[in-house]
Amino acid sequence: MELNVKQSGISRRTLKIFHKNTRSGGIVKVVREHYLRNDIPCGLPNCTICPSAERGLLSDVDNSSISSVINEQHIILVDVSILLHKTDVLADDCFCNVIIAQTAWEAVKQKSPPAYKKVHHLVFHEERGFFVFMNDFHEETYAAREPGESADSRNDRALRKTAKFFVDHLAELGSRSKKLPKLVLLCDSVESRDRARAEGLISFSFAEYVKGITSKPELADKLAAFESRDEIDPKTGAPRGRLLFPEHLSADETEIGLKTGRLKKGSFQVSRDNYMEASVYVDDEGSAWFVQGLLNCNRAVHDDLVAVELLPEDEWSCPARLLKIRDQEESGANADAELDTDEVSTEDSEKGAPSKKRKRDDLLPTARVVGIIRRNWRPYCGVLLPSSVPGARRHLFAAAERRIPRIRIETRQADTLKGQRVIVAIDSWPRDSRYPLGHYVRSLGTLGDRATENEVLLLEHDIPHYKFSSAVLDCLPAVPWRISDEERTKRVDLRDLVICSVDPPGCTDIDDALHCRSLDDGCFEVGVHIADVSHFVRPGTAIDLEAAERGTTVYLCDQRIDMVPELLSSNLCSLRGGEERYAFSVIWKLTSEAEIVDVKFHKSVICSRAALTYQQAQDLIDNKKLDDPLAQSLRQLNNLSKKLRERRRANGALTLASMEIRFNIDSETRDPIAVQEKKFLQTNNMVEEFMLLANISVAQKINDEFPDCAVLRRHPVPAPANYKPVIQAAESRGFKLVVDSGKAIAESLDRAIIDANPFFNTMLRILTTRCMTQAVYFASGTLPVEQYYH
Amino acid sequence: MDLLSEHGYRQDGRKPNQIRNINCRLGVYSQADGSAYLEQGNTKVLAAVYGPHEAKQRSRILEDQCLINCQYSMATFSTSERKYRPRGDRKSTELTRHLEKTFNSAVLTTMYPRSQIDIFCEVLQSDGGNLAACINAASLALVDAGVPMRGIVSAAICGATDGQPCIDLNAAEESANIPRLTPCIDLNAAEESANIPRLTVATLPGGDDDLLLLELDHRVHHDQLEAIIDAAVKGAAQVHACLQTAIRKHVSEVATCLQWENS
Repeated sequence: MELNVKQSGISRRTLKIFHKNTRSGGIVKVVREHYLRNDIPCGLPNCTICPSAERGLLSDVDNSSISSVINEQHIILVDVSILLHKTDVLADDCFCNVIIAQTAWEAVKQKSPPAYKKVHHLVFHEERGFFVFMNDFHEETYAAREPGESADSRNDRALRKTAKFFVDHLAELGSRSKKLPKLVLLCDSVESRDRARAEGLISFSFAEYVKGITSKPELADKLAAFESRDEIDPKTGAPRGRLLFPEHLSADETEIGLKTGRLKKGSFQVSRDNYMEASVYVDDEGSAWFVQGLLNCNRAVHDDLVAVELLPEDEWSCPARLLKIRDQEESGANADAELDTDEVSTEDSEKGAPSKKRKRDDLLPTARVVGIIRRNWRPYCGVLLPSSVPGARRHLFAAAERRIPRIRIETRQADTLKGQRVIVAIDSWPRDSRYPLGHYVRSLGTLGDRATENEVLLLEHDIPHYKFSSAVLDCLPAVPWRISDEERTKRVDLRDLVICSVDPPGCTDIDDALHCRSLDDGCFEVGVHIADVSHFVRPGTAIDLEAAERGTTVYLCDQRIDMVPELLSSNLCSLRGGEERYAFSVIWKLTSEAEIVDVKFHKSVICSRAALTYQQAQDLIDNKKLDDPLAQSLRQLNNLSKKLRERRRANGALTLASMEIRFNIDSETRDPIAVQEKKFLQTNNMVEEFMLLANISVAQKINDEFPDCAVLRRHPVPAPANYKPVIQAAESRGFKLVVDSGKAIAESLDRAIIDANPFFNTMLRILTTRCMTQAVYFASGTLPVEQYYH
Repeated sequence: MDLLSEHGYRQDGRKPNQIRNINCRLGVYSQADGSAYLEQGNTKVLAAVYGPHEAKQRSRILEDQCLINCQYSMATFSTSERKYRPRGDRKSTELTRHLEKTFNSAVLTTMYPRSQIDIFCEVLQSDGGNLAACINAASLALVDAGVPMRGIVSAAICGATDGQPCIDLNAAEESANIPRLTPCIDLNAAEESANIPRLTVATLPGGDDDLLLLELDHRVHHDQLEAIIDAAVKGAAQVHACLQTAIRKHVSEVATCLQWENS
């Protein structure tokens, strides 16, 4: 087709024509333009023909000795199914110089978000020479879909065309320079492989290549799950064993069911107390349908998005009042027997069912799972269950999360994996298998080891804990860092104030500091200073996106997973004693009765006099002999905070409790020795009180300035039913809790004291905390002011 | 849908700052005073100009200048699903007004007091950037009709996506102040259907980059606006170059037919 507009890189223009079904049942023809380019980089280092790629270049590493199937330096081109199903293997360090064709990239993006995420990470976050070649835009490798050709076979053809291009390209380069790698096409379809070989390409199946990697036998294990299934399931697709579960509805049937209202969709939440029971939250208000028994759960796994159908009312039931946890059952029964017989007996699912004589009003709307809308499978941490048959290849895996079913995996290294924490991913759950089938991903280390268990905690809670990428680190200011003159002119200089910070001992990320001084008119000037992180983390930068992804800093018993790199968190944005730092300051003028007279907000430069611990601050306050400005200001702060606190209580503030603990760590082995409840000092209250006051003032200010778009935080009022457990707990000791309002709760909690058991009150308060709703963020203007509760 | 892939390409293989292919012809109707056919990618537009002639409606006569009367319409077969499109629906009335405003400021209207110029634009195939394509086609038709203008009007649509190509993220010096939005010029229909801010500009390049039309759909932060206008104006300049070539070619063809001597 004619191309009139000459633009750099565009060499040809074609049309992609295809037909599409419309919602109303018609068929429309879609014509899209497709521009082909001649400026696509091939990714080879030192290529003299193509323009150079901006990133993700293939490396120069000599990989000739990796796999026994090929003993020359080579580049690997992988197909879609390898990317979709075998990224766990591909992610191993020994793979390098891999080309991913754009065709395959797009197919993975469309078909499987988790696989896409992994491939994306390999390409953009690892420097191992994974390169995406834009073959669909390259004038020489574009393969238009031919009439009658399926999408998959076009993809295969495009891949072969790409392979051919690289072979020719390398030959052309080879005539100019000396030694160049060979191209190896890895693909799983036998037909495509045969064709590739007929076209003179070097091609292997992924399994052949991986088996050739003799230095890493565990890689073959990861592949095992797929292969065994291929062996067992004949091409006809005939089931091999007894079918245990009813079939799932197809996506179309599910959609029709959802539209007509016969089905509902919701997230499948297995009960913590009974693995045979689950709830499906079918709408946003939190109303749930109850699912009972493994048959009704029909292969849904915790967290999946499922379609459920309500059972007739005479089959409704309610949660059984007994614990059913796998560990207990299996300790008696022989797990292997179950594994071999592979059955879900119907009695098994009936066993847990409550007697039908229950009162009618106890019954819950009960449903069964008829379809899976989206699997939410992730890699699970856990242990292999011991097998009674020595040397067996099939094993059951028990996940650390007890709501996840046992997973069956195949491995030849069971002996080495014994006593280790391993990660396993689920591949599928066929109808004829009692357990989902999975494969071994990697081992985390020895069971019970501190580092291993930390890793498990982080993975299970999906906490990003990898090192900061170079893009993030590039956003950091240069060290040694000093306050710039430009900023100094813009900010209010508060360096001469006696500011100090009060934090737990050992705290390195000091984000707040306080000061107080008396004014001539009997009032006090009190300031709260918060480290100005926004000066260093600008919106939209890599560091901002990374921090948003991490969300919070996570404290483990012996380490901290930072939200921003350490230079910021414990140095530049930490208000350390004696160092000049940028801050945001709220400065009030308070009367001696702690009434706010005036409030100011500004950016500032401060210099903290001392970074105190709670205990040190308390000692300064208590030590009557001391009378330096620091001790004075702390005493004033303490007095004011008591008045603030008194007023808050009078207004119905609720004092709740949650345990805060700290670890005593052995100074040499870094092992935790003991757990200790944090001591609560007056100074804790003091800091808390002023932080609250600062939050309130800031919230009021932004709400005044932006009445319709201030982002605020509120606690929705908990439903009265939420209080049930704590009311029951209080009743068991003869106290009555009134939950009509915050103030009523506070008062009745104050009365519930047993002298002989001082912990009882704290216990009740902890329970009450658990009844409260989680805080939510909202924009002012979306809710009436009366709902701005805390 | 992301306009830009992780690798920095658009779905049809263009880079963000590249326009679609342009194909055009002047003088396609014999009965009109001026006419043009224009393809911008798969968007195909016919424009016809009648006039200047005496104003039909006495009430609309302007004493000191001529009246520009436009009509924007879409053919029933212009989109993938055939649809009856009555004249004068809300959307096309709006686009009609935009056309009139644009050409009111481009045509030297004071040269024809008490008269009228009619511009008819028909979209034959719609694939994004319809208004911009109509303005470009009408501009060519006015040239063909020999109506005096301040310059050749050219228009372009520009969208802004927050799909940040990953390649940019690693450039450390840029990361400090990259605009969050990447402007993409000359959107096609698939790109237009994405929920993004879109800006159509019509300019008179050659002079001092006069902006004749600035139409924004959706909201955009004003910090970003400058960059988007800038990209759109650059796109319009690229279109302008194409229109100019087409006019030169047309004039030389006409000259050969009439056997004018090259001067």
